[in-house]
Amino acid sequence: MIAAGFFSFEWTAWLTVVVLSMCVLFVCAMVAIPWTTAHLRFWGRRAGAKNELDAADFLGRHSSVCLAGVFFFGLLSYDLMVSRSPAKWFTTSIFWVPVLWTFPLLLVVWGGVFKFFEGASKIRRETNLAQIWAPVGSGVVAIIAVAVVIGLIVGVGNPSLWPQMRKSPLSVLTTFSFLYLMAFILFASALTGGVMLMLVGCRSFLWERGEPISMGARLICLGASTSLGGLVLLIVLMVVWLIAERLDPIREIMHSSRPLVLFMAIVLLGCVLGLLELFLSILRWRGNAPRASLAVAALLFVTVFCAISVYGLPQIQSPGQILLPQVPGLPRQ
Amino acid sequence: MSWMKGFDVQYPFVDVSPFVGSSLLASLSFGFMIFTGLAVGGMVYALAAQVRGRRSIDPRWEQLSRATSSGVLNIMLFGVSLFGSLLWLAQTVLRPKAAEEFQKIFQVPMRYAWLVLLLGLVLLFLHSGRWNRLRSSFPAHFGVGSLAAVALFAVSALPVSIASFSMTPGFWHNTRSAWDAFLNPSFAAAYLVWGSYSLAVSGGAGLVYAALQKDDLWRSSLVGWLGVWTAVASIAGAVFTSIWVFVLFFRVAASVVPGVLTAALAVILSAFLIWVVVRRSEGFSLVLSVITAIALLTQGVGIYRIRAHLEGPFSIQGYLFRNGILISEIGEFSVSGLWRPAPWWRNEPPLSGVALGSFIFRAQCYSCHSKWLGKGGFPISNALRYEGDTLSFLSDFSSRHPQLPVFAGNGREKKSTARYIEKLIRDSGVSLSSQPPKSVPTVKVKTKSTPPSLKKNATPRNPVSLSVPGDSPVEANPASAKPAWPAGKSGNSSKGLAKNSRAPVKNLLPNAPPKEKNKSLVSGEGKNKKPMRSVVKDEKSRKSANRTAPNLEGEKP
Repeated sequence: MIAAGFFSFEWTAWLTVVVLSMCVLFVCAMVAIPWTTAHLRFWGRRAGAKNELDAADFLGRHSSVCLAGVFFFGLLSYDLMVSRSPAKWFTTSIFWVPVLWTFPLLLVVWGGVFKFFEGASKIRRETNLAQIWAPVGSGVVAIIAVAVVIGLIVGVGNPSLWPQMRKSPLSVLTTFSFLYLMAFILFASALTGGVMLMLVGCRSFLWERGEPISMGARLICLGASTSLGGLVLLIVLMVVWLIAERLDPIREIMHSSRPLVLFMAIVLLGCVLGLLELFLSILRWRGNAPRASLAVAALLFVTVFCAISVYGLPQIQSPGQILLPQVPGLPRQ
Repeated sequence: MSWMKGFDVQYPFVDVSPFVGSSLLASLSFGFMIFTGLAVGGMVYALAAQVRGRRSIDPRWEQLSRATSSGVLNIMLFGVSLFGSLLWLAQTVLRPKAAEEFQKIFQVPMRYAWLVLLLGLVLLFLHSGRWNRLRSSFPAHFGVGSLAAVALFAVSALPVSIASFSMTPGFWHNTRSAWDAFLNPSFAAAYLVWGSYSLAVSGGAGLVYAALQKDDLWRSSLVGWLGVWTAVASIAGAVFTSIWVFVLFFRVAASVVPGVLTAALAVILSAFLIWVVVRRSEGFSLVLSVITAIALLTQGVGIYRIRAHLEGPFSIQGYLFRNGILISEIGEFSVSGLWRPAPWWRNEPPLSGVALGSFIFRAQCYSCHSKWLGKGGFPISNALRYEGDTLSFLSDFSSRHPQLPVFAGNGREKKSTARYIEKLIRDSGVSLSSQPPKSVPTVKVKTKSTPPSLKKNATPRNPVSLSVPGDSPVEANPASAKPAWPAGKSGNSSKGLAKNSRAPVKNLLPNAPPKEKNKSLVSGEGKNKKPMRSVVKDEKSRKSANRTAPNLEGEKP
């Protein structure tokens, strides 16, 4: 009975939401890490800030964790989604395969670039230009990889595109949904990257590390400002979408028969406000920054989890229904 | 989702020739097998080196263990992930129906496998990344590594099980339980083969690494140590391969030849390793290590061949054909037809004629007969010399095409397919002549009304023609024609299927369309089961036939 519950439909829906949240965060981190690394190395060299170079090296060293996360949670998400609606996912995969096959390859290139230059990071790091350009290349690869995934999601969410995809798979790239989702992920990546920078900055506050606290505080402030910018842009994008949809999504949530969804929507709103407040307080008052950074990281996960739940769960009532295509920017079904 | 239901061919076709497709699948499967073997076996060597490093005063053992652990992590990230995801994608695109079925059947074991994989990856990161912190406590560090190795071994059981399940579904046919599918009859043997092979192949990679070392003493010690492990793994591989082949022998005897060759190669390799590597480790060179690696890769190809040899026309033996048609669906297809509108050709008119035949060929025959579409690719066959031979061939699929004993599709689609195949024959430069005038049978006027039946030596594969000079052959009434559907448990089709695949024939029977079933009963193959109404109808038709057509020669009155 426990096993049956473990694999029950409701349980699988929650599992899917958790896995998707992790997947979104890892994908955003994949985009953010190379750009953050390149930024830190560039300005660290100019300002002669050793700590920024160390932070960049730290991010580069942990890129393999991010790669493993993207592979693991990406494949697991695909597995869970496909088991809900194999026909839609497989059909879109078949149409999108001329582009889709590059995704694992791009991930390996992304990780390989970091791995290759990681060995040389401590040698001539003040003068080696490849230390900056390699992460930039890696960042471009990450954006292409994200575009591939979004193309798949748009195809799954909008079967009316299939006849066009059948003739030319790249036709997806010119749709409004694709551009909207792309912008959404890029802004979310800015938010995630900022939070990561704040967490790296937190390390300077550990007394056993012996690093200057001021440098850690600087990283935290830098991360908070990036995250705040990303969050504001996400809010603007969301408001534009709600207006374009004539507030239908809000009405759907209000009238949905599941109180849990309404609760999740309220938590989502609270989390967004909490994140805004934390970023502003870190930037303005510079309170207990390390603890605030950890709180921001936790809030970010809860926010992503609630966002996916709110958009996904109302649709999950039978095994044939899918979860992702209800994300903003796609036609509502 | 209602629009998704009722796809006959659920997924769009991919324009890749099956040869390219199967080569791609084979190379990706092989790469995945090798990288997984290197990762899983490598973790065992990392732990063994760690233990040896604790006992030895030579710090290089610990360095070796650390490098191996880090290498395993990199192999998992860059090799296993890449080949695994590409293999999954290729399987999804080239055989979507099979991928869907595997996903459905193995859903529960797959969830556990994901969980164990996550655990294994975390432990592997801890073992490799926290080396300096954990090394102070050897039991904890070694415990973390051991758990990671166990997790990796456990996860690798899933792909092995899926591969062996496609060959030997076993009890799953009866129970449809995920665990019966997972623990299928040949799983244990296949898993043991794979486990020993993973140790051997990572030992072989270690020997190449050892041969590159410059310090003679260190190289000799490393070679001797790795040689013993690899030789033992090879001997175990030979034994387990024999067991595997023995298990598979009762399904398909053809697995014996590649199996025996693979086992023999493993024995030769182990003898070579004991003789050259273990006993004379100081003389081990790079050339010998490369020879060892090549032998191990060949052994891997042999293991893959054993599996591929058994596949035949099935993706899952006795359940799903390679063309993505479920055996249980064929009955429905025979009534409703294979072609249906799909979301990706919404505004296009329904297919008919040769276009419909082309579609049916692509859906049903292409997975095995892709070469027929090439220039001059159609094989010259005496069986298809005249117009109409193709249709009779398709109508008599069960006895004349036992590999795929039933034609999925309705009568209209069958005719269209016949027309399309005739077009293919003509395109390949062969001209089909019209049916030769059949010799007019001597007519014996009957005095009593008796059922018409075929002469004993009359060919059963052509529809019986009541030839009237000057007229085109007219197909006889259903009572005398053999049905397209496998007739019954004792019918030819059942025999053909059972003979070729040991598939449970009963799967075919419940879904047979009622009309066709009646036909088969009427045709005399199930005389005892003939329902009264059809007997009466049959009697009437016989009487009318006797009034209008002459009886055939040699018929017993």
